Amino acid sequence: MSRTLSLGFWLGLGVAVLLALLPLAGPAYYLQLLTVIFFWVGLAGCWNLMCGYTGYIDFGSVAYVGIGSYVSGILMLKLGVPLLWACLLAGVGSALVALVVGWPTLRLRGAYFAIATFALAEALMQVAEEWESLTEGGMGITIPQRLEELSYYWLYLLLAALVVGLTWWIEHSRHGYALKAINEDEHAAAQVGVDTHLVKLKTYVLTAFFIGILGALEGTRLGYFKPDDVFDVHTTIKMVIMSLLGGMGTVLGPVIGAGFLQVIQDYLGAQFEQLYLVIIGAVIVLVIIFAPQGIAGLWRRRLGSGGGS
Amino acid sequence: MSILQVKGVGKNFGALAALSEVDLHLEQGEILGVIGPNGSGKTTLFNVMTGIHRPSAGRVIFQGRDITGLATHHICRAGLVKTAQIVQPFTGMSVLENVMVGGCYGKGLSLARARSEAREILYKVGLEEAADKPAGSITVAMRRRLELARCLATGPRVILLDENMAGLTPAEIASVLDLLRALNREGLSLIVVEHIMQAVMGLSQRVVVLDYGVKIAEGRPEEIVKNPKVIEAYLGEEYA
Repeated sequence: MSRTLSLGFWLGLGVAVLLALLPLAGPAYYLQLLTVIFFWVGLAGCWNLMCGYTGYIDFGSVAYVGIGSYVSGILMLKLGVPLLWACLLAGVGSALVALVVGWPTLRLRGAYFAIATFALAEALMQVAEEWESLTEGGMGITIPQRLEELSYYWLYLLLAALVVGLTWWIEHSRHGYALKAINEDEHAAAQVGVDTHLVKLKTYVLTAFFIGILGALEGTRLGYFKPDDVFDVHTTIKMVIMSLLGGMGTVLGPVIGAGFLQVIQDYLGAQFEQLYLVIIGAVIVLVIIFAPQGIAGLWRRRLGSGGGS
Repeated sequence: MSILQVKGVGKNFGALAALSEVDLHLEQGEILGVIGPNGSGKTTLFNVMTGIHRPSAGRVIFQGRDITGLATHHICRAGLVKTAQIVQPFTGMSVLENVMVGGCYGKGLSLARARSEAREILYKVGLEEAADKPAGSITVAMRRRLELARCLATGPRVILLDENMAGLTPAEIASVLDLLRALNREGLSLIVVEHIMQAVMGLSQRVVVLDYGVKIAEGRPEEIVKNPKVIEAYLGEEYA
């Protein structure tokens, strides 16, 4: 068993290294598409790590994208903090907010948690709109610095690999067992000694950290953003759909989901400008009906019962 | 000294008093039976002891320490666990992994240690051959054993068994009774809530009877079956 585990790990690392070397050869269009895919693998990977594994549906994950963008933007603009430091601090800021928000909300279950987190994201958007002295309000923020396009390729690849690697590592750790136990039956988990609240909170804060960094970097990549750009509910929805398509609670689910959705969105968006949302909708419905465990789940079922671990 | 004491515990759900003024004690190494008609408060009592419900009145003392109102996972780590009346294995995991969760978190073991201890425990409860099966695929009798194994993995001093024999055949019940006696001989103290009279009377050294949330009798099994109050609670006034 541990041999297949380490095989998976080295295979993953190999793919990541190959992807990192790709810019030496690849044409620019694909590099740009991959950059976007890596960004979404990171985001969907975070959503999956928290929500796919615990069954807590966070409908406000974009809050941490927005916090990341604004914290780094303000740090750079008002305090002249260098870009990468600003992005790292944005991750820390997101994690701190997640700690404060997660403490009470992670005691809620089911729809209540989804509604609470959704409300958080909407409320933060309003704060960003109204607190003009800090955020420039609806005028938006113009970021003074930007990295080279290829740097985003590598940074997003690095972050995506970190998130996926972390998910893999957690899945095979004590923490992963606790997450899965919580997903199945939180009371039963507590009865065998799992501090369910702490386990959820740790995961929530960790994923908020990465979402914050991704949001911060994306803010600098855009160069200019307004509250409704970085607190856009569609970002959350996309994270959810990618995890769902790929397979919730699996290591590769968000990778497959993000790759798949971003590619068809790119292709269909160009070919069928009007129809493509309908087609994507139909694909999602089909996957939910015929492969409720996502594409990764379908694959696992093909391989027979040897899925488990 | 009593390893577990329940002192004047009451629990109200709205206007309903599910438990009132219940006193109970469990000696080190003892098997205590708790019986009573449906709705007499047995499960509520267990839930209060393990921190699932906070009592409206009274205290729970475990190993000399007041554990009233502590979180369930803290009580588990202190050494007091209960099996659930409705078996709830983590169906997405294997039988072995289910038990490992108990070792990891109830006892604070590393994953590797938890794995090897889980194998020993599965052997002890007779589930070693099912270790790698998905926990959702095993029979009810095996699930009940798994429930017990998961509790054992947390390294308990006391296990509360909530109808752990419900739905089993007489042969299965007999083998569970043997297992419980063996665990008891190893020093584990047990409180057994059970509807199957023969099982609970044969197993317990002492029996407590609850009716409408009140303790109506306490004594050795052979005294309990003759107690008029107990007969009345179960069969109605005319039989008493």
